[in-house]
Amino acid sequence: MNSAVVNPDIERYFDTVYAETFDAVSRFVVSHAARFQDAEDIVQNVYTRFFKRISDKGYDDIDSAEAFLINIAKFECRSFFSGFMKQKEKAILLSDFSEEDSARIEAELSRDQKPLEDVMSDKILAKQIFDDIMSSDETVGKIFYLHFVCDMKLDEVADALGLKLSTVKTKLYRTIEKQKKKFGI
Amino acid sequence: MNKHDFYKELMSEYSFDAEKIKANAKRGKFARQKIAPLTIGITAAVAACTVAVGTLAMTMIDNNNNGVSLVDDSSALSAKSDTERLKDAMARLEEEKESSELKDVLVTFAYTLSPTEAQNVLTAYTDGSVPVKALFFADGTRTVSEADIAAVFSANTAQITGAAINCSGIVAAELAEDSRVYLVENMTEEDFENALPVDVESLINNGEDTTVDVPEISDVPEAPLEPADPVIPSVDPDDTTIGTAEVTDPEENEDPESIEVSEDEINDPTTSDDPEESTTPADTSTTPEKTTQPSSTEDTEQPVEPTELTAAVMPEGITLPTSVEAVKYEPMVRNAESAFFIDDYVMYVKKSDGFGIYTVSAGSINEIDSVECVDAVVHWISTDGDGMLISGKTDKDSLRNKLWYVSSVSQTITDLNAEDSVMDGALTNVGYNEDSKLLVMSIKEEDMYYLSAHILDDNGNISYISDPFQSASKITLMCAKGNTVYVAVTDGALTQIMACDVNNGDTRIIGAYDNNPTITKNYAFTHAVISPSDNALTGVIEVFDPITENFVRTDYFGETLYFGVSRHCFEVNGRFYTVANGFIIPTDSIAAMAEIEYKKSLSSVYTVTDVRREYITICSSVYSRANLAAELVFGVYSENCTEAQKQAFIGAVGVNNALALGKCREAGLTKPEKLVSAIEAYYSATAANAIITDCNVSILGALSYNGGSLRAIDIDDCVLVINEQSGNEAIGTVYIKAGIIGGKTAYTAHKVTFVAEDGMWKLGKPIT
Repeated sequence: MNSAVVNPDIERYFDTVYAETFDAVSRFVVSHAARFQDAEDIVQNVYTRFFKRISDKGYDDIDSAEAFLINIAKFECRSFFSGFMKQKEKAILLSDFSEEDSARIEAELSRDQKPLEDVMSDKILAKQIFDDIMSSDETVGKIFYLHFVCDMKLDEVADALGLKLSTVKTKLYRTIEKQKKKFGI
Repeated sequence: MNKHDFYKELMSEYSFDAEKIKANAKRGKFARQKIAPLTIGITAAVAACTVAVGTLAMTMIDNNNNGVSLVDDSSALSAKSDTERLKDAMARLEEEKESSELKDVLVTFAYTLSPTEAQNVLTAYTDGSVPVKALFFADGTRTVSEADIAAVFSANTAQITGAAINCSGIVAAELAEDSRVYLVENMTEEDFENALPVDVESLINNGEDTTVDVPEISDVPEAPLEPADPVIPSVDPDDTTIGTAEVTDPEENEDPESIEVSEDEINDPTTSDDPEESTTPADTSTTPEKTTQPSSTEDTEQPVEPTELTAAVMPEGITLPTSVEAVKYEPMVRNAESAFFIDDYVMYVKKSDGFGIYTVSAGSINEIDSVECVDAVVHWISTDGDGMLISGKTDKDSLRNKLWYVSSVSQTITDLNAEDSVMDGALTNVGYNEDSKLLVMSIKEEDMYYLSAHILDDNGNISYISDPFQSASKITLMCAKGNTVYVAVTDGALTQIMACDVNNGDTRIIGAYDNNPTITKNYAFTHAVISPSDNALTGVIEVFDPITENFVRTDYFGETLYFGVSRHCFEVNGRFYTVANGFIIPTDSIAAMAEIEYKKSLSSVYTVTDVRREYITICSSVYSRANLAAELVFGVYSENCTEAQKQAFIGAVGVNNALALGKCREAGLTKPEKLVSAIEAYYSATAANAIITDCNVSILGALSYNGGSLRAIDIDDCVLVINEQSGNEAIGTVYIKAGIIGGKTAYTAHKVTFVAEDGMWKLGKPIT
């Protein structure tokens, strides 16, 4: 595909759709990709296919760009990992965190902590913290993304990933507690 | 900033580089896929054996009983007859079919298996491994050595008749239901030294069991031969390699209607076709052995007739039409390369720039619809011609990503928008099973092969199910049954046959071959043919039956099997067979021949006999309703009538044709009395009255008549055979040539009677 001859109208349409759908598409991909580490590549493939499609055939027949993109995403998620991915994982019943502990951690998450702004500014440290989340098991990164970036409630995250709520909570809170000790945040 | 916002910003910043993604998308850059290819190989067999053997060793150590479940010694298999063993085994399996207790069992296979095949059977109902304690071979020997068992699976050359394994009652019961397994019996310690697998052939021949069931498939012809006479040969003990000549179109039709696109073409669309997989070809050239009527060998005795009998001679000026001008049209269709009828009056034409459907009637041809594309390939035709699936390329430089559904009923061509599934890849093949409405696309994109499953209804509406399977190794479509699609996955010299559920993607291995067999599907996507490769020296052609998941062996090696559009019937070397319940049964059904010769039979009116320089030659169909109603017969017939009988018959045919074709005036029968005289000259009084009534022949006034129920006959197509004669009466059969079916001349047979009237032979009844 020769980007030097892209129709400006197509490009404008693509930019608009991209801005409007990126959150929904990335949320879908994170929920359905086998590995969080592949999510970015999958999202790229989704939009690359979409751009090629509208360049070749236009977009007049596309009623809902988001639905169209999600359809592509379905294909890409399955293609990006060998074999057919079973979405349901084995449920692991964990009981590390009582209701009281959960409430405490949630309260902490809402409390202002000035040093966090400095941490965010420190790109190296911030990347380390991100990598630490990714180094956990496959689902932790997904849980963090869906809950914090996509603003999904924990029960919604559990549904999306085929996990029990207790499992989601444990993975999330355990990682937060671990990082508190490791990075002092 | 609270921690919630911190993590939100952190994950947003580092999860996705949104700007990079957008920029790459506009540049058309795809992310490189990080996919582990499907691993297949003989090492899998060794690994399974190793696991199994390892488990055996552990079992032996753990229970100090050599891993043998103790059973009453008086139940030793070696102490019983095969019949007793059969009955006991059935009873035991029923008792223990829900038991999870592990026991040693002796598995007798229904026929000799290779180690890989045996492994596939034994592990089919477990988590992929099962302890193997002994192997029994076709030469009557056995081994219980751990090292030897491992070596057998590694070498994969032995012929195995049975195996001793350790499994639960549940698994044993499931194994017993496998069509590759004849018997599963509990074993004693003594049996490891003394027992052998039962003699399957002996038990069957003694009537203790039958492995042949009445076929349940509705397409099976009405009168198949008894299953006791199947084509299945005895197993070749040296068969470790399989490969056959690739199924191709016959020489009669130079245009392969349905091929699988080669990998070269996918990678470089400008290369010419080099099909790696083709569906069974579209036409046959065969010589069926069986006839549906007695041959003429019974009818060669020359009758003795009264010397004074002659035949009538028409007066001068009357020339009765004894020949029939054959229907022949030659319309021109621009760019036509090949054609055949898919309905009585609807013709499919493949052109160099696409394809189209046309109606043909009385020589005039009208285009209904057409599609512009390059290299149209037919992947499916329904048995009644109502539907077709055709793929193509948009232009010569593009990849194959278009798929159309052609309906002869609604006379429409529907674009199925396959490019939405194929995307940047290319279609390598398409399979459609009309019974389950399952449509499977085989797609290749870059270095990966995918299956894409859909439902296609009779109106051409398609709905997506899933992409249930993919592999870095080449995938070849085989067939489907219900929601299961069967494919061959080839990695180097090893080919594994896999069953894949399109709903959940579950796969299981059901067979394996080495030495690169050629595997093709039939149009109906109900069977696959597995043939030894071109350079194979041994092996036989097998037909895969998904209903039983049997690989049914034939007697053939280098021949080609033609299914046509038939679901279950095929032709090879002039013989016709039906695949039923895991067996191959000879058939002589005209219906089966029609399905295999679909290009001649989908229309009862017309058939295309040639396409040359854009002109399509259309003639009458040999599978006409009249021919089929009259019942076609095959044979070699010789005339044995007297000259007078022959002349009488010729005259009768002439009168018949004059009426049937409306050519009385042309023949010189310009007045009613002349017509009546001609009828009465060649037909007895009774027959003449019948014809006059049937054809409404006026006996007064102006010439007036119609064809009635008469059908025009070409005398050159007739063979008159007198079966019996006494005095002034003769009874015989006239065989009228219908055309070529299955490579042999087909006739319709009509009873004729001759009576002597006024010193002349006359037909005693109209020719019907």
